[in-house]
Amino acid sequence: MIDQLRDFLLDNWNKILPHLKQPHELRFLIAKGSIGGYGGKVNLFLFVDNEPQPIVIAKTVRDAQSDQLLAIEYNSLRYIHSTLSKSLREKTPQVYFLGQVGIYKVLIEEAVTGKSIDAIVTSNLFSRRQIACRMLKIIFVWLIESKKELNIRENYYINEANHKEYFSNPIEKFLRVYNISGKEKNFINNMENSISDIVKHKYPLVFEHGDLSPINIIYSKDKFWVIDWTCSKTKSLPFCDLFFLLIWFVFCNYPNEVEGIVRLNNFDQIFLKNGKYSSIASELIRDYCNKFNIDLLFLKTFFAMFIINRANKEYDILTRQADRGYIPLVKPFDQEMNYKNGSLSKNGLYINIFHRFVENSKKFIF
Amino acid sequence: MREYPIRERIPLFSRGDYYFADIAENDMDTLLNISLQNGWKVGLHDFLRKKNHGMYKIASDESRSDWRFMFSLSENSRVLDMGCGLGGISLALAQRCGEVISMDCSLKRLKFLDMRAEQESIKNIFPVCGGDTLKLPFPNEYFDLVVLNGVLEWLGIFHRELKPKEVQLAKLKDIYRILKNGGNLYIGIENRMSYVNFLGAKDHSGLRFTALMPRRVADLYCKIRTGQEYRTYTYSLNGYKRLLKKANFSHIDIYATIPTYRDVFFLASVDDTKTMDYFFRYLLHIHSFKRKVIASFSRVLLRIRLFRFFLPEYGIVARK
Repeated sequence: MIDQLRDFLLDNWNKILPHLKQPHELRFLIAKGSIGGYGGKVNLFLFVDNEPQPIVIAKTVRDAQSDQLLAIEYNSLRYIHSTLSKSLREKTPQVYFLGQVGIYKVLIEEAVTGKSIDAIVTSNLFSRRQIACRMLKIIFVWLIESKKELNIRENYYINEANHKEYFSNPIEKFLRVYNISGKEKNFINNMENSISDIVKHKYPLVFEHGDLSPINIIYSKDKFWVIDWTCSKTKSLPFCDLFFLLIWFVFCNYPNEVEGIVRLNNFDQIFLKNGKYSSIASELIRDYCNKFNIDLLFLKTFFAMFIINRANKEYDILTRQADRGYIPLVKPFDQEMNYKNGSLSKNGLYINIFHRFVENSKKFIF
Repeated sequence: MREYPIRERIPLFSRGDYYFADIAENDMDTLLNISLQNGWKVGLHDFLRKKNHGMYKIASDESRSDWRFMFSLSENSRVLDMGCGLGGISLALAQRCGEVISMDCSLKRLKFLDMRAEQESIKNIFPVCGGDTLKLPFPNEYFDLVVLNGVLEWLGIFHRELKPKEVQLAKLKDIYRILKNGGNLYIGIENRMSYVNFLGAKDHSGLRFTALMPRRVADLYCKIRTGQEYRTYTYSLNGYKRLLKKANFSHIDIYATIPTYRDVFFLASVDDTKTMDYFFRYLLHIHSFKRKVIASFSRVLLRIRLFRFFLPEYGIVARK
């Protein structure tokens, strides 16, 4: 594929990358990628002539069924660059091309040079918490501003017509695919009143990145970029990216402890009172609520919906992996594929967080 | 014309019935039984995962063969996967290639692969039992790509009458014969001069430092310690180049396969120091003090252009 891509780019350089000088030679670095936890993507960093840094990234997928994910990223980045103000859109890579090269669908976008925040936090062995908090705040400002700009123009909101799509249907699926206790069912049933009130308030639906973990935020010399938009959605519940970002900022502090119950305990540190990260989490969530005029009363419901949606997505990913014989398989999911025996990160992380959340709902930061 | 026997739908080109795998033969039988009754996914997951998690990953994770993106394969391409094992690489290649011939010297592993392909309704994988003979049972200029992932170093054990290097060279020459003009050979293999060998990592012989010893000394040492000859030869960067040139390959590119050729996360040319430096500066995630020290030392070696000689493993592309 590399030879085909090299020939294709050198032949069509002025059409695809007219703003860049035509190179004589291209060099490559292949890096394994994943799409929303599903390992279907491969990144090819392209270096021109003798340049020490890549100029563009070519992304492709291993199986043709995942081709559509490249289209999602392409469309999202086009939309972002046509909608956001300059200072905000500069934080996302430019996208140049989506099309077929040989037998592979290829997306070509700007290569941003820097380290992922995940790598920065974990490589600072003695000051992880301070660095994580400082970076979290920087990203948070961009998150709010970009969401406001992307949404004000579209004016999407939760209403009677669409509330099934955002509440009833995910809950119905969640109850169908997971075994949950009577107490948890009661918790979900008790959300009904809160959901009705949310619908009445017409809270906004926001543009969602969908995979806003520190791995997908590249940082260099006080600049940052948000990459990997393959899981993005134009309309989503307002807190999804924020909750996801908070959870994964804490997870990335413990790179050697990604398995088992440790990850679950990390949930306590962010979302339960007196947790190590609960003060910054509550500060950011409160700020977010103010910016979108969302009542703090509804936070538990929004959080539950975030976990339910994530758990549903995780179930879909696991099922898809199982269909392909990937790791892990779903069949014994409810018996031995939980965190006691397998990798929590890939085996029901969110359902276990849901159990933990309901069990400790009185200690929740809001 | 010579006829070969067929056992359970698999043509037998091998001289004997071998069994090589990271799980015991009776466990392989159990895996086959479970896979026959409940499907290969259940067999791999419910049985193999508990016995050997690494082997489970190797067998099931198709992303570990991302080196395939280096090659211009198409629906018309014909590929030979030598030492295919339980079929992780063959299945990944079959998605985008016309035909994959999966060769292994162990009939049991091939039976598993055959069952796996049948259960998935994959029609373009053809398991064949062989690889232990110096001459491969294929016509001249037949394949677009031949894969030797973790195989070249083991070839010496099949022909004890010859020196391991002679066996490897003869096999490489025969691979050259069956490759089409412009076709590629991909080799995933350890580096004899890897820094991990200097730190005392165990070689294929099961002993430390044997890779670094002169061959005769290693052979004597192995005979004393294990009663076996030393036949699992690996080579240095230049050693591989020399070996492949002797086998008539003219265009040879060597890549760093990080962290390992069995599961490639990053792949870049060892001669491209700028790309490797970019990898160290921006893509490598360091979680511990020990890794920080290793990475710093590696960058020093990179600057003085020595790093490529001490990488643990290589992905080698030799073009006909």
